[in-house]
Amino acid sequence: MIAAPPYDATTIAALEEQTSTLLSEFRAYGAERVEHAIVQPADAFLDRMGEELRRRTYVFAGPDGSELCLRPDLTIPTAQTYLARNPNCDQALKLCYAGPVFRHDPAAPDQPGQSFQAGVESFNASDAATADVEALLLTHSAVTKAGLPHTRVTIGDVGLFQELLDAMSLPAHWAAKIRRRAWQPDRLRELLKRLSGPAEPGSEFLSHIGKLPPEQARDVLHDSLQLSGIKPIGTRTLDEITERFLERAADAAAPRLSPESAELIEAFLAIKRPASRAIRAIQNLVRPSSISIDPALFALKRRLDKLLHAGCDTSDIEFETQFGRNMEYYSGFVFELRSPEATFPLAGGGRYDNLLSTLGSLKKTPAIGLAVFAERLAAAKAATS
Amino acid sequence: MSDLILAIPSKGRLQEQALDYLADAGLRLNQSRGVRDYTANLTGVDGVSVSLLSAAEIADELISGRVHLGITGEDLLAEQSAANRALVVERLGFGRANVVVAVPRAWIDVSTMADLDDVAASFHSKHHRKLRVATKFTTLAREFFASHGIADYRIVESLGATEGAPAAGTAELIVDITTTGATLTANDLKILDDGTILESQAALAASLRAAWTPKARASAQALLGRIAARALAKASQVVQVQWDKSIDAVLATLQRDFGARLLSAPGRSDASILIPEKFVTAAVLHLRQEMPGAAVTTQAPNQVFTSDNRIYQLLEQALSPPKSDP
Repeated sequence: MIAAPPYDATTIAALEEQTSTLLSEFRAYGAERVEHAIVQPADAFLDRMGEELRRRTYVFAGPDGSELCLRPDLTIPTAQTYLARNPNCDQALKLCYAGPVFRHDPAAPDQPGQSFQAGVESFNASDAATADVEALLLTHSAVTKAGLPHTRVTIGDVGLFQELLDAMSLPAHWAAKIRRRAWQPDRLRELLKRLSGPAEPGSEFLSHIGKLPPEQARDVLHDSLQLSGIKPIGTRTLDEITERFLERAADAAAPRLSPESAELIEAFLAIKRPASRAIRAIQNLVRPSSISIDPALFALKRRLDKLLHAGCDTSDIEFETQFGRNMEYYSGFVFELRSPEATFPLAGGGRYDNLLSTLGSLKKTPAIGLAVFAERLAAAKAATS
Repeated sequence: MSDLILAIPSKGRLQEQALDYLADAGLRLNQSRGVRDYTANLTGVDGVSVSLLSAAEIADELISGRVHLGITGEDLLAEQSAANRALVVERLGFGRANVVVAVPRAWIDVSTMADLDDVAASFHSKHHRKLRVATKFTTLAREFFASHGIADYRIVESLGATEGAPAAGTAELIVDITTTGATLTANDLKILDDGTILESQAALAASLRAAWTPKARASAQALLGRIAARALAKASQVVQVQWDKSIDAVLATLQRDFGARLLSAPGRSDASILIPEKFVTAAVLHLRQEMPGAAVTTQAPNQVFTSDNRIYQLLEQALSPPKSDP
């Protein structure tokens, strides 16, 4: 079953046994086994994963010229299976899978670009907090059953940062910029410095445009393009160009980001401590400013309480605000498991409430998934035994 | 059977310039079987055979190690991430072109990569798809966008007439190679202020994966020696001095301040000194000042052979110990 790098009989047997242990845990949780094609149309992946991941994806042309790839991920095909089965997205469904995924590692071009994953995706669960906690507990119990009881758990919440930015009532495009850079500390610092520094002195033209109502601004831009003989080519419309022009004009005239706000953002993203103390830390940080993110904190607290209730010691779980599972589609609770020695995760998962809409679902469909990385788990077991 | 294969562009302006460059160093192509033949010998050095290939093929062959040396564009080598597999030993000063990021001129709100980052995000949310970048330089484009922290875009591979993609609606912007920018302007595109990814020119490159037998190395040493000798000659002048005293004291200053090299034997009152072109005027002034009454003449050398062979040394440093002849 495991078509993999040249493994010997012992390794294959160990991996197969591990996979069947994981799958039986997943089935016991109520997940139904699905199987996906290895070769997939490339579009669905390429539109949702960044270009950075594309360089790691094996993309090729099919005999009929269509753009295909070796599946770099199993969440997207599983979400497509759910959508195909339940186009109205009104039923709760748990699906599980096991199989190879294919990713090229530019740092190790001679290594086989494939690895084995087993995972679960849970769609439309009635209570998000319960589903989140179940996903983490299931990952932990499956990894334990597969032979590795001692792992370090890190959790995060991608939505929390969004809540903070919303609560600070920043201009929407500032918030968007800050969010895009949240995973790149140097770029974030540079951006915050720019937003809190003196306003960039826009041109005279810019400030003139900035004083006009949008309709008139659009006409002026249209005329000036025509006068300079520039053809408006391409798919980006004049309205979009006008809108961004007005945004820039507004920026030049807007009050700057206060140094306190810049500090708050940086300090928030630096939080890293046992989950049992994370909420208090965030509250302390936010309190001096007059903003409130209590609903988001309450949602996090519900998850932590449920973990405690299930017998987890939340002081053993690390909470990191930075930890966002830097995959584009994650939108909320995220987690990963590492062996005490390893630098890389053996399993991970997260909430992705927006993915199904981008795949064509007509209503927002909450979902959370988890995946165990088989070879890494096997290697970690070998290292500890 | 030749020991060393040198690949040269098989057509166009790049071939003309490459042949001129080699001829200038005293290396001539001998196409014994007529101009339509795609192999040739090189007169001037022994043991070298020449393959005539397209510039893109030359980059491939260097990387795979099927040729030892080749003349091709730096852009093609960089695009193949050739850094560990092929080594540029000399930039040749022709075939200059830049790989750039260009957007529609109508995007008057966009002049930098930071602007593009904003546009990429808002485009995605408005059009429900990513901004598309048409290019054949996928590696260079990805590295450059990543270095500017831009992730929200998608590359559309383009195999020709990339500059037409925005007007045709198959991409919003392009990454392409340009010499004067005229084609971009003609297609209503403009280069971003900080959008120059690579300033490319033709280069002589060596494969690090080829079979570098002792014989291949000997041929390379001779070939690169001729090229280094000509390159050094073009960048220098020989200054001849005759005086009634020893010139050793003055020479020390020339060596220290002007990169001078003594060509004649030391300790004499007449000397030939090699001086980099850019320092010749200053060096001559200095000589006239320090040595009143001395006769100073300068001349342009044709070739300057030195024991160090700068270009071959670059190659040898990068290569592992020689592989024995089979």
